[in-house]
Amino acid sequence: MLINEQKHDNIDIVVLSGRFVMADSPEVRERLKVLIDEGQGKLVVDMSQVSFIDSSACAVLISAFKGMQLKPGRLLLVTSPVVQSLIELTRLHTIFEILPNLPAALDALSTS
Amino acid sequence: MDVIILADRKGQELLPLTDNTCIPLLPLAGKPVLEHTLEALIEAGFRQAHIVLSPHAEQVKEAFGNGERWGMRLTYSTSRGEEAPLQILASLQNPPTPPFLIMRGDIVRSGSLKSLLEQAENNPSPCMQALFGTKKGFVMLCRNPQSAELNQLNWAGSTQQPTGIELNGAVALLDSLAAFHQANLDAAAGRLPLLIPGRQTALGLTQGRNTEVYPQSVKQGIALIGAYCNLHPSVELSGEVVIGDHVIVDRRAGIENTVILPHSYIGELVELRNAIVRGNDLIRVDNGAVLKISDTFLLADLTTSPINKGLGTLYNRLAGVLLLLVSLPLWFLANVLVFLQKPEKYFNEYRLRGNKIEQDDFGLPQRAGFATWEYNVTVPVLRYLPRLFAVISGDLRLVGALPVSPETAAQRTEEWEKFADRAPAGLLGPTQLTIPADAPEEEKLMSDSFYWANFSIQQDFRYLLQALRMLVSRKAWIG
Repeated sequence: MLINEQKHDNIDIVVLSGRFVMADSPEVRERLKVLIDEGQGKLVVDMSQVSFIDSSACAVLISAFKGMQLKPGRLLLVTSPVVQSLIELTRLHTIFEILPNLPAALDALSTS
Repeated sequence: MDVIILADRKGQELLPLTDNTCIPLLPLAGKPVLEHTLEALIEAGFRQAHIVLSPHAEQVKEAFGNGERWGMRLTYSTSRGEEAPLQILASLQNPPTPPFLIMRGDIVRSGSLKSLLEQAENNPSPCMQALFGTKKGFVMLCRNPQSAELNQLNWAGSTQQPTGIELNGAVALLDSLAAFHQANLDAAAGRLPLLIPGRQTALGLTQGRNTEVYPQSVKQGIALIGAYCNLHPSVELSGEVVIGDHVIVDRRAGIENTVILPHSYIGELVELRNAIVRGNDLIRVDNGAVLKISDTFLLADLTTSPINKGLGTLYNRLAGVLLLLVSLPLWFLANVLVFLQKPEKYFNEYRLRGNKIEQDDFGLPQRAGFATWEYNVTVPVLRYLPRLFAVISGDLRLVGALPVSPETAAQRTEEWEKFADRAPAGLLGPTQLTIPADAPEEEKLMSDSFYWANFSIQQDFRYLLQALRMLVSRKAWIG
């Protein structure tokens, strides 16, 4: 899986692509933790290019969500249809703020 | 014209009816709440709609699919629940093209949408809401997707004075159990005019297909009875009564001003008045009492518990006995190891939550805890051997989610946490086999959640085979 970090004003963006599975979880968990700890409380995880996620990947997202709540800050997800389906299947859509694309997510964080 | 249906109410105000489903799927006068909104749209000539869901979204999608059955094209998205309409519109993949119709699908209204459209056509306001008397209709024709007036559709409440176009009709907000009860009775009696399924077979009696009911059962008033019901000839119905599909009412039961939800059994001589019955839940709307009836001769739930899904209980227990016999050499090995490693303490005892259902002090069903123990050794496959007894006793299934302590289970309060919690606990499973013991709690929870979301018997057999293969792996013996 590819992990690409970007910055847009004071918003941190993590763009993930490929398969996000257990083997990738430790690295993504660590990088999200650093961004949450050192960032300005505005983070977008763009998974529009992610083709598959498993339970450990969802667990990483939950950890990041909890970390951002403690900061406190706002974590937005951008999902691909596959990721969205799995998130809905496991009811995670009831906690995550999900935007249809990166510009919409940046717009939402810029105005908040 | 684009149509957006907001159906993302969390439904806390209708608990316990919404503990396993959501408001759009609650049956109201024989149909799911959302279906009444779809029918109103069809009547007004709409053939497509986008529905925003939150709790139990997958159930709604399964029930309504792509809308073909209604001659509509339905698409879906989700929200975190009761989000502000402006926020929801901003998060849509395909935002609606103005002017568009936006409405709540988790309430019920009668009245013609055509009238709203006709009257709104000549009105220059950015958003025009339908009003039924002084009540908001929660349906709006909108020309500006950024208009603050959209907040009037916010379920969480808007302080704005409702303005809009007055329509003939009625609206039922379903904002309490009493309101849900009344809406059902109003629909049956025609005070809330909706399209009601079934045919009138006698004065005051409307019944669905394959239902057995005698007209003389309706003593006075109105009865709306669903499909596949069986009412004994001696049953007495009075006042206004709404009975859902697949309901059995036994001899000499008396039912007055009551709503009975599908798959319920009403026992012999039972008297119901001013109540909602859902399975063995009895909700009195006049005094607010919510009771779980444990005596199945009185009320019973005719649906099966999801805990019983999968390999049958008997097969599980037999497999537990078989495994115990096969594992006898391992027990010997465990005893030798523990004698060498920790002769001062052979076992650790603890309590886990199993699959047996018991009633708590308030008569509510809950999964019972059970005492178990593990060998005080480092070898995983030996340490958990004693859990085989829990499989034999029926506390655990052979394959299932990771068993947790009652205290851990009590901390799971969010909907996504409770979803994983519905999975039956097992000796083996994806979490036990693949997730390291020291992994974060949410990782184990998500693993169980995925297991339950993709549950199948075939999958259980795959985990059994995986467990057998792992028996000779390093992980099973070293950890």
